[in-house]
Amino acid sequence: MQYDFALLCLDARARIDVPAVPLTAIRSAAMISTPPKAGWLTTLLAGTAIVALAAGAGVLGTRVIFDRAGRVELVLNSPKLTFKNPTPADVQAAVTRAHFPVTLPAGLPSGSRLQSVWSTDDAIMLLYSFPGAWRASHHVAWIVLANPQALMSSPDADMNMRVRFASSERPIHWRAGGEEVIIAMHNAMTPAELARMKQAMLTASAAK
Amino acid sequence: MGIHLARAFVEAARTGDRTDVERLIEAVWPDAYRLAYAVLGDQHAAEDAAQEACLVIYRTIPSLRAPSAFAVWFYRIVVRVATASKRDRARVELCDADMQARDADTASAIDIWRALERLSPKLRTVVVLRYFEQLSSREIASILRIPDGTVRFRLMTAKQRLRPLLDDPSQPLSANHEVHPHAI
Repeated sequence: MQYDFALLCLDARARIDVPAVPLTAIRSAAMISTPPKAGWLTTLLAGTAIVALAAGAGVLGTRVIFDRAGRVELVLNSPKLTFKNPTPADVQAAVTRAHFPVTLPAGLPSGSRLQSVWSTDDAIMLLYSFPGAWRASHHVAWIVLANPQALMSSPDADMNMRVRFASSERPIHWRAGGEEVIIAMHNAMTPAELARMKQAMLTASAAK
Repeated sequence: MGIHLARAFVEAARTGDRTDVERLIEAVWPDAYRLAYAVLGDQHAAEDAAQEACLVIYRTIPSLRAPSAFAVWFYRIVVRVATASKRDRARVELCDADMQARDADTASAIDIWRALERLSPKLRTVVVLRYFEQLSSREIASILRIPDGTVRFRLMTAKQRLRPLLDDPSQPLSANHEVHPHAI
């Protein structure tokens, strides 16, 4: 080789700027008791509470319900569920099925991983896992992309499959174009990460 | 290097209290971050991976049976966390509308980071451990739990792939320099 590869590598290594050790974050994360590694179903159930699964008439459409406390519930009619490690084709199938213009999540923290996709004609629920030791037990968030026409203030008596988010926090939501974006369990993300994601999605939506 | 200096703390961290463990974490942090950065090539991802690796060390150091094995154990944890992070990032990137395809066909200067991007994760990891961390092929084999011969083969393959780029940065890699994936 024309250049000494070993020296090049050593030089590159020496030039890496090392940030301060985040000892407080590591200590805090280490202090939290570590249960056995959760499987995909445990992770999923930690995020949601399925309060009713009934054989509905099949005519009820998807409903996204904000209750008086500001919490969100979803009624899903014949959802397609991809529980574990969805592929881009699964996501694309959900987008194709949707009856509203879908802008997929953008500007997510680097290293975010899509764990699950639930979709109906009027809503797509995406479960993301976020990286970083500091997040400890709060490392997943549901991002719901919904047809604004499916939004309701109270549930119908009949239902097919109803999903309530276990987190007590109010979801963050905004509307962009013909899509309502709802972030449930958003304490997995920092305010800066949420702001970056919202900005990226608004930009992507406006560009469509 | 911190990882070698840290051996003095290992015994204390294994049997001592939280202060001893944190002293060890402080000592190995720069090495953890540099190694994660070299594997991932991204500042934020490296910080997350190094943090994750240090958390694993923090929690599991009492279970380390032989203090002399600390270095191999440490490298193994960082490499495992970093490569898992790289794999996860590759999976999510397909869904992120912000992702821009990276122009990896030409390089305008001798840039080791751009050169490393040309390598598969397996090749990149052995190059990083050999040339950034100055480890022998036997040590790398122990860390990655693969035969020594496989390490040397991967190093040779990586250098073959990098040679045209380092000799002439403006030259794109031709098909002749591709390595059959089944050979790695």
